[in-house]
Amino acid sequence: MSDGVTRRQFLKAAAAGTAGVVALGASAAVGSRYEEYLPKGGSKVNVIVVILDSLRRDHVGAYGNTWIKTPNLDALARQSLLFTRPYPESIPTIPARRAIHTGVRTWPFRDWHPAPDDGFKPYGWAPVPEDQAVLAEVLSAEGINTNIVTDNLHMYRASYDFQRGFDTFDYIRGQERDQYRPMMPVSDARIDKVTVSGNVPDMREKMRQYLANTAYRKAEDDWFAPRVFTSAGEYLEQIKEAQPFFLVVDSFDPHEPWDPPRKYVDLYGDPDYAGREPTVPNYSDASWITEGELERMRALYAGEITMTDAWLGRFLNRMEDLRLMENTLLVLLSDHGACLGEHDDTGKPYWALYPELTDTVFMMRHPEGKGAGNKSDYYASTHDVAPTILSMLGIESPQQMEGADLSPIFEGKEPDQRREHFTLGYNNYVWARDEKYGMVCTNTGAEAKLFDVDEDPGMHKNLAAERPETVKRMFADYVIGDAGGPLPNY
Amino acid sequence: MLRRLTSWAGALACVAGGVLWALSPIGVHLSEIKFQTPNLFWKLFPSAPLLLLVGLVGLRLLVPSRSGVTQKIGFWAAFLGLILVVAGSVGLYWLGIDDTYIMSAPAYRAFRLGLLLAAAGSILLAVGAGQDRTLPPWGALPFAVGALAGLISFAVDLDNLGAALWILFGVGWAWLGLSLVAAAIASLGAKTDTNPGV
Repeated sequence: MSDGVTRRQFLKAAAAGTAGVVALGASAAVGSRYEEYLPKGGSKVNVIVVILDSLRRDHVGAYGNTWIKTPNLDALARQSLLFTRPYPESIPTIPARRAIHTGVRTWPFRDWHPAPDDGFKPYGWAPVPEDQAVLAEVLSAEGINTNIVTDNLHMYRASYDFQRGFDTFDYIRGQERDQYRPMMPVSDARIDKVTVSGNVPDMREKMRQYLANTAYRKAEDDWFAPRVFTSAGEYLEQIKEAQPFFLVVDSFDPHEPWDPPRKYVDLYGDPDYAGREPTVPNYSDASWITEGELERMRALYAGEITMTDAWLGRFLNRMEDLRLMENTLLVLLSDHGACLGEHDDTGKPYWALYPELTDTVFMMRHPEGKGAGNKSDYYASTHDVAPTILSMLGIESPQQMEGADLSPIFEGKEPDQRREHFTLGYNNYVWARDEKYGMVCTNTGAEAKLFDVDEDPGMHKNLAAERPETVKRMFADYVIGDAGGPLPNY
Repeated sequence: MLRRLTSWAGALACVAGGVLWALSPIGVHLSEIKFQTPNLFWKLFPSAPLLLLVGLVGLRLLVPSRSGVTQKIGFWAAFLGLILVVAGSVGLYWLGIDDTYIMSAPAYRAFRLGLLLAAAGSILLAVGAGQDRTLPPWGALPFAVGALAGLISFAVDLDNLGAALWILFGVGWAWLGLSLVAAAIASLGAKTDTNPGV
């Protein structure tokens, strides 16, 4: 073969090059008319995520409660992998939802831009940042039908964007302060019946809106948990035709107002009670409420839980009837708890980072029964939900997702992300724990409290003065370490 | 004679398989319009990688002794990849394996892995064949470009761009087949020139 190029070779190469360019251009032109070219497939598992707002861990039978009836949660727990020490990476409702939907920690609340139309502004309470992908978007891009049913009013305020990625969404109106019905017809006398004398005016106004919103109620199925789970059941009937699907059922109950039908309250309170009902707690210390009223409030909350459990049960039965249990991954968790006077606090004051507020419920039911009845003490959290689901569906997680993939625990293995400790934040307060200690302080490290959670799991005996070096170590290594630097103060 | 027959069969299989492959986005589209599902098309799809397999084997039989390490690795990767694509699509659309193993989805995973292997192997095969001069540069280069396009489109779903790159993968294989046909015709001509009396 000669080193030079003959005229014939040159012409042949030129012709081939031209033909190649033409083929490339023609392919691009033809291809650009079509969007689908890869076959759809992969895991055909449906995913249902049930979120129960404000459900305390110690109020569920599966976690050891003996006086509140939660038969459906307990039965589900027996079929599930149960996390014994789950915590939300941040509190309250919206920061926790952001973590669930994005797989990104909302805490330490950097670059926080509160929505202008929202009066409640704890740190991190804001829409999902636009540069963060949400789970539903990722699943939708994979051809999975995505749906959400919720009565969580905070998710559908005008400035919020929690419907991102969902093919269909059912926003059930009227919970709490949802500006759903004009409040004018609600008299003070009616508000008196569902508040107590110590309730602050803001809570009375909350109830004025709530009473206006719920004036239509006639039967139990008009309450919010029944409406959410009924709607979710109806969704199942339809979306079973479009499997695999993703369904989020986000129930605001058992969040206050705690006003379940009387039959539920009477399970836990005096059936002859005729006084004013403490349906809403002040978010403060408990000095505003009498011991008798507090007892009644506990009964109301317990009744709200049992009602929610009963309607969750109907939804689970619907799943069973539609034979969806056998090909659906079911994740159930709560976002935080509620204080009922345990540390002389009520509601969700920022500083009250004790078990009644921080300890949540988290269980995952595998469609093939893996891990059923097993327990894990891994510090599972809200931001683990998205990466776990994506992993189980064989879908690559977006790089932003920093939560742990919990799915190895189904196989009896440990997640890749080791957690010897855990941290969470609520407004300008932080909480950290490891196997031995639990610590609470402000974002600057002030007001520190330390507890031996091994011997004092209820966190009652403050050891901070005795062990300042432990407080210092936990704040520096855990809080500042996990936050990647000093915490913001807005 | 057998070798010549093999090379011709291989070349024609490459052309046919490549063209069928290139037509698949259109096939998906038509299947969705006519039957409201792409699955009917995907049931027919295994014929394309099967033809490419025949073409690949033909190419291998044609130039067994002259191929270097790169070409050998490329051949076996592409071979395994195409086998996986065929097995995966048959398992997925004919046998319904993934309907049973809903979590692990073995057929779909085999299909997708096979695509990647087939594309990566094709690139190595093209580079190796170019180096070993078992294919003319004007045959190997477009084949390599098509394989690279395929690798990109198989790795990530790129919608319209991906469909264009998918088509280019098929065009690359068809081009390879045409270059083999051209080479076979040229060799016939050369033999006629040197043995005019035969």
